Amino acid sequence: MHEIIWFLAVILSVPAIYIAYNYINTLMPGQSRTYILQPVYRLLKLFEKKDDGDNFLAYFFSAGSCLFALIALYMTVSGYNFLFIVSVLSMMDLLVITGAVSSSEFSGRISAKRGLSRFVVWLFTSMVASASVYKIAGTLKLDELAHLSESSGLIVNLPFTFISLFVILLMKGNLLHFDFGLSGDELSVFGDALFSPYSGWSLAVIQLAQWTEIGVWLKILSAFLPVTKAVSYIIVSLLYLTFLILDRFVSDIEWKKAARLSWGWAAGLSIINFIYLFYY
Amino acid sequence: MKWVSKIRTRSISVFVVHAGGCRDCALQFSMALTGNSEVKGITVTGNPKHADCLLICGCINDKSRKKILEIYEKIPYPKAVIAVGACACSGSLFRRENSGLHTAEEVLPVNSWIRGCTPGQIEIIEAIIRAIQNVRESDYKTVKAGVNNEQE
Repeated sequence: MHEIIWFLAVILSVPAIYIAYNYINTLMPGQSRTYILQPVYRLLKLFEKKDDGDNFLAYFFSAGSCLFALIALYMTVSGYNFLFIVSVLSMMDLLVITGAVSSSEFSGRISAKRGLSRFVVWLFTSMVASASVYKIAGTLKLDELAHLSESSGLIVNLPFTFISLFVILLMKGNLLHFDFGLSGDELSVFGDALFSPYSGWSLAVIQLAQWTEIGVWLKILSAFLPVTKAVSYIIVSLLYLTFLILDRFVSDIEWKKAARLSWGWAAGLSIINFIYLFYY
Repeated sequence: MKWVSKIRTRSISVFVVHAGGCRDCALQFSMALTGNSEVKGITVTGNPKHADCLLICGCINDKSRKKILEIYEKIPYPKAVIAVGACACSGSLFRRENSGLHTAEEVLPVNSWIRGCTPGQIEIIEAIIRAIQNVRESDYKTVKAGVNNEQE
């Protein structure tokens, strides 16, 4: 019962974050006005739209990725081993990439390349992070980690690992250079846009999978803070919301550059933390 | 169904095409979005796969005609096409017998026309919402058959 409540809470919390972001965005001068529930309306609208292409596989792979995301979320709230969760998330990411390749469009292949780069970065970072966590805690089970963290706080010994996992969360939220075309804000060239191969129903399902995946990473990151589970989840969610808003409104080029290129040093930070633990 | 069309009008993504011209029509659209606090739920997208509505601004020549057809194909149904400004509606003063310019209606099935140089801001917004509310599948099937014949 406890797991089911957490499962539903995490699923609902991610759209709530995007609704809050959308509301704050609307309040800013010079921005288009939107409804408070605009992200939900957009999702419902996408479900109603029909893609004219004959790409049946895109439907299959998007549904598969959503299923794996839900499994990963259930494993996370049940406190499974971190590496099991990472393997399920890898499966989810690979299904999204395969669906993109199967579209046989130029844009699909470009999306798949970007997706593979992202896959390599986040998987390697997760591997190194898990090694560091195991060295400190002696376990990779999330419920044991959260319990341990409440008393001692894993973030004290693993600050860089926490940051690198947060960068993964940002990558998954399409804030860095790996936009899968979900946000609709990505670089596009007239007629030859680098857009997503997914549209309509399949895009809506991929969007759901992405929201679920963000929930998974928020829950994983909440195991690092020295407070109770619910409080740490709220803190990490607010941190993510803050980053979303900063990314939207800070126009300072240097700051943007540092933030958007952070995927390049995500794995590096994780390695630094591991070496530090190994020698000291 | 009423609730479906209501949801459609609450989240409209618009893909703006500058087919060739002074770009004042597109500027009017931007000003309508940002300057009017009563307009809600309309966003601009650079991705045809996310779009619901194709806004054609400016004179359409042979080169931009091909691109407009490509983009139109990538927009999932239901989709609406709106011709904005005198250039897109009729070619305006640039249209001569052999100038190679097309009207939007010659290229795609247009749901709304907003005439004038420059067109009104409120008229553009109203046209987008009405076009999305009243879009029909038959318009789309007609142009699909036409594009296929042309490719063959």
